[in-house]
Amino acid sequence: MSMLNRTASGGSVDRSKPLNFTFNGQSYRGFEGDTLASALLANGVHLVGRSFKYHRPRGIVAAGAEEPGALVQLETAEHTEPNIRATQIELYEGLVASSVNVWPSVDFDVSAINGLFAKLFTAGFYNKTFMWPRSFWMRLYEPVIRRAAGWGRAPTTSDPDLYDHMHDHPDVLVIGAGPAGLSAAVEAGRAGARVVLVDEQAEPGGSLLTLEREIDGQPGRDWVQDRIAELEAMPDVRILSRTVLFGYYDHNYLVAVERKTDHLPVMKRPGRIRQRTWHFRAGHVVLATGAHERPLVFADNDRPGIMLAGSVLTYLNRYGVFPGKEVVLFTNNDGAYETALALHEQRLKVAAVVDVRHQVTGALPARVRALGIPVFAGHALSATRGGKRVSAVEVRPVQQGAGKLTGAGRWINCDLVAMSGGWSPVVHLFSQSQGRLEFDAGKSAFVPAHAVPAQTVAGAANGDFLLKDCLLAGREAGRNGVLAAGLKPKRRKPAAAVHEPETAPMEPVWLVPGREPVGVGKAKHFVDLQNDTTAADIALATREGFESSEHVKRYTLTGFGTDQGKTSNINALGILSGLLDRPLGEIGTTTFRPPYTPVAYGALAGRNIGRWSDPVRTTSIHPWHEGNGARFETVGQWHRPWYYPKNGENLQAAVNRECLAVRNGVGVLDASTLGKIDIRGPDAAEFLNRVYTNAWSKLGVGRIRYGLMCREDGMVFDDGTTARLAPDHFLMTTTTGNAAVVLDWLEDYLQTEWPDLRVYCTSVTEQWATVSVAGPKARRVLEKLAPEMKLGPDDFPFLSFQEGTVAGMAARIFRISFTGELTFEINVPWHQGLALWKAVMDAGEEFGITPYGTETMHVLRAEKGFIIVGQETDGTTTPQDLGMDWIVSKAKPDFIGKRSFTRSDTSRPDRKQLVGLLTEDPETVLPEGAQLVFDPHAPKPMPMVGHVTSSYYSAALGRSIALALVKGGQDRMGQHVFAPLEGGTVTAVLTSPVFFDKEGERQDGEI
Amino acid sequence: MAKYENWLSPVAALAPSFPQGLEALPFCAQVNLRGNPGDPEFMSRVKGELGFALPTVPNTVAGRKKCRALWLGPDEWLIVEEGDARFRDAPEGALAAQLEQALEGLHHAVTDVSANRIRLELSGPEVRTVLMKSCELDCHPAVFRPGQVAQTLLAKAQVILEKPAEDRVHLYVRNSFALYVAEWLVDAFRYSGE
Amino acid sequence: MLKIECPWCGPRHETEFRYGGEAHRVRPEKPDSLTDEAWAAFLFMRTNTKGAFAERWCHVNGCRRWFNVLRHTVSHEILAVYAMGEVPPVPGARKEGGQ
Repeated sequence: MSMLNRTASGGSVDRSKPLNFTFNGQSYRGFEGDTLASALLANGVHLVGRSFKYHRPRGIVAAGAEEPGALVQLETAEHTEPNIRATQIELYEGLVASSVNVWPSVDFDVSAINGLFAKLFTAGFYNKTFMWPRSFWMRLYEPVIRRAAGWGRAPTTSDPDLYDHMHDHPDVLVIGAGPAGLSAAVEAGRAGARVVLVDEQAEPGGSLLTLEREIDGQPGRDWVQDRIAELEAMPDVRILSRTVLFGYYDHNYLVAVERKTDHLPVMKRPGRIRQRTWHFRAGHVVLATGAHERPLVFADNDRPGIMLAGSVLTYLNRYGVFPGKEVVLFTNNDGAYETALALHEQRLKVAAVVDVRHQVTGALPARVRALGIPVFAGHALSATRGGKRVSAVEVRPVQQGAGKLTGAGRWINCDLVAMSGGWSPVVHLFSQSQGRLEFDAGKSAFVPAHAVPAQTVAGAANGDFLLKDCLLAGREAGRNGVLAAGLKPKRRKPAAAVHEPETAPMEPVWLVPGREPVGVGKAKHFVDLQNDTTAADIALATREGFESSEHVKRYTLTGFGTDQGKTSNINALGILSGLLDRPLGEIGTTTFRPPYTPVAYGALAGRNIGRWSDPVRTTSIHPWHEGNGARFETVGQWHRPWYYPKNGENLQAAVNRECLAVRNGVGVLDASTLGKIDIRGPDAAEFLNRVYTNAWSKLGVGRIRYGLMCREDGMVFDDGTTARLAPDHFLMTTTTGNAAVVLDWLEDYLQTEWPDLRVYCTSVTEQWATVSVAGPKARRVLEKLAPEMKLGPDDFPFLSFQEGTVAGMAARIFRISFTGELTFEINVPWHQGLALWKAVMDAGEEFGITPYGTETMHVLRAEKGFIIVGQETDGTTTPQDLGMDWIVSKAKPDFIGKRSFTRSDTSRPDRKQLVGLLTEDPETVLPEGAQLVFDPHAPKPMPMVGHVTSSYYSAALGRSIALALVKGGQDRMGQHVFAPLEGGTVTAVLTSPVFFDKEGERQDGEI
Repeated sequence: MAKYENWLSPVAALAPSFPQGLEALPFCAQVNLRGNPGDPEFMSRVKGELGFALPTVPNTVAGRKKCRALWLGPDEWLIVEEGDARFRDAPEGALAAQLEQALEGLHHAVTDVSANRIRLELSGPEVRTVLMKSCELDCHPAVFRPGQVAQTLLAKAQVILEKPAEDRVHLYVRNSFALYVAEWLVDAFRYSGE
Repeated sequence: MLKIECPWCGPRHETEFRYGGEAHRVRPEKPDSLTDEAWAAFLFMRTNTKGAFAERWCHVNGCRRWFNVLRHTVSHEILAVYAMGEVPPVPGARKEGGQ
């Protein structure tokens, strides 16, 4: 197909580089430099989709990020992306796109029948229409509506593309490379500031790419090229094109996404970063984000071929595309006349300029009239015709202020309507930054009024629409950035000489009357083309009592979706202001939220995906675990061996085997993940007295003690053993998951509450690898590895430690036990961990040494009734609840948590207390988390009296065991509790939580 | 026994496939030192032992090429001795023992952390880009200068960054995070040219 | 994301810090001498200020030091950073102002 609507020359497309693309299965050609939208228009394609609610035909309205309706499904299969604006897709060879929201096709859309039921789809239709009956929602409404109204399709396979992140800290971050932004960047760069210039388009220049302007005698485009060349030569300036700054957060933290390969043919992208997310912490931010043109809200203003006048000019001047051959302009300002002149110059028929203003006196209208183009001052478009493309418009005289039509209409044929309702500063980022807007009646726009610190808004974004003002404002904004960076700005040069047309004042019009009152008849005045919101919807919302702009937004969906109200917000507010008869300034805008335009999840994730979604921490022995078939479980960020299946064992079989090995022979556990904190100083013992619930002063050097920590509220926070290495030197262990938290907490008290205590804490978690050898034969193994050490219970008693040489390595050995069996925890420098483990495995071979994982560790400790913080406790559990009064000192005057033990709530007798549970059926293993009741026949909802915290099958006992927290449980020993479960109620009897070796006779092992 | 016998770095298996510009540095003596810099006695005894004064300006490094003190906090330093210069023939832990002896009687904490972190070196023209991809810290050459040290996050792991020279950075990474960080950096180098 | 000026390490991103709640709550010397009400007030009650609010932060991913920050809870503007044990500077007496 040839490009029927392409000018003979002009624009910045490269006519020597034709590109082939496919839209809705049809092949077309465009040029390099086109967007999908400009290429479609060049081929005469206006109809690109169907509207969200009514399935009306929709076309391309704008030329950039503000496009509300022309959303397409880009590419196919794993590369597919839904709802991309055709105006923002750079054309490349082989591009494939299709319409969204059409079923079965864009030309024949059965859902357009919705139009017949339009009354159903008024504001709040989701909330109202489908409330009843409830079951219909799931079966009927939801599937049908989703099918009919759903936008594009998300890809069903995982995203194959690469994304990454970058962090930068510019002195001056300039957003927008139009005349204001370029001026700011150049000014800051010349003074030596670190500058980043971000622009969403492929080509810098902003409005200078559309408007024919001269700056200091130089064509605007050349001026842009010179500025870019100057900036590129500066070492500390980074220019990011194709980069959308989508989020502006606190303290000048801004996030942008750079499209690095999206403009390339799909086959040329693999192996390259597709999109890069930039995180900026900027010293100063210059918002030069420009302005968006407003549509006019008139009857049936949504037909394909009704476009924004400035966008028509962009297609003409930048892409060499004329979107129509017979054009009617509809405006309330002088800007549209520039479009009329440009169209005329291309020998296109300008059928009429319809201007709601009664006095049309400016220089631009005068030039249009001089060309013989009819100008209808004090007129408006009162109706439109056309199916898949506008074909005619009705023009009628309108009252001053456009309140009412005043005369008969005439129809004018056309294939394009170019409308302009004035311009709105693009204040999305300003608003995200918490800047406050004010309504400027002179400009009929919300303009930035109160900025956050270290930010300047410049140019059209600030309501300065003239080029000469943009250049000056940009320069001053750049200087602000320079000064903020503590640099010296260059001396100001004289302001540039700019040639641009004079413009007369515009006249705001928020709602153009139709032939019938709004909401009557079939005509619709669309406000939000993306969400299919009409002026009638807003009127309905106010009739139903929604008057705040935030409420109206939510009720009508105006400004929702990917569009975020770029073209619709101001018109909606204007209409609301008219309905409520309150000034626009009082109505205020709704809140603009990030992202400015949609961002792919992949771009947000960057490289933090798959194995890097969270750090995987491993011990030095990890390679052995992997090599020996361990299954892993995640504990905090650690990957710990969970169990080591042999010959196809399942979890239970492996755990039974591992448990019995430890109880009857010897097992070995990688305990390197335990937190280890070196505590040193003359007041170290006093410090421990304050942070643990038990007493530490009298602990002898070489001895170890178990300790429990509480928070000030008396709830258990962590536990572990601490060894006294010297009078002023302790080594504390913490639970695996809490190591960092405990250290921070200790530092908190040392630095803020007790700075007088002379104590230093140093983390040594990863200095030491810990191999825990446990079981009655543990001593036999160690004897082989440390022949010179005396390991008998008298020389090396329980809860003591020794230094010695194990397998030739200098080691610290701790005699503690989390299993109830004889245990030696051997610590060597981390990097020797694997060597030690292998030596232990070799030495233990003759005793059948068995590596065991965390699951076996959990079973063994549960058999002994040892708690795990975070499993038996949940932040509401006191030591007394755990039956651990024995570890709470009565003698110490104070320690963290002590005072709370006597609070009325913590001393209640009916608190949930730790108990053991034995199920009636010894084979039944209760699910962890199961709720417990005293009376299984109580009416529902049954009073719940506790829950199962740990539950296992114990191979050593040949039956199931469980730990639970039960209300007043310590006084209910021997009584029954019930766990009502899906498959039936399980009965269990309350017992002591210590199930195995109650007397503790096994801790010294085989003598 | 030879020094560092049986010591195996967590990145030993990955290191042979490191790209140009990424290297695992050999084991060396590392000591975490805590003490009061306001106490002249403490400062002078450490200086007597190390031969240079501890840095008191935050985020700076003092010392010589072979033996340096990295500022970690107002009362905390990491002493690093490359190639164990003075204790070549002594067992591991000699530097810590020596410092311990020098500080006897003063409130201090000397902790041998030689096995607590591994060290990676980043060098060459891609260093800045790789750090920009990995760290939120401002690594601009005018901000993070040779002779400086910073503790921050690299991806999601705590690291110490030491900058001995322009285009060269030493990373101190806790062992359990070492593989995560090394794999991240290999990836960052792969796409740094983009 | 806030930019917080660590008194030692300089300006860093919020991700390097841990929040420590309201500042200047002193742990009672003798908790046992307090009534239940007074102890509960220490444990649970916070001022929840709208405006300048003194709070504690710790540079956990840096130098591990705790310090105080005076932050405006509406604008997030940080009005002052000061050491543990120091009294909060008067709100409004800030070094750098906004626009």
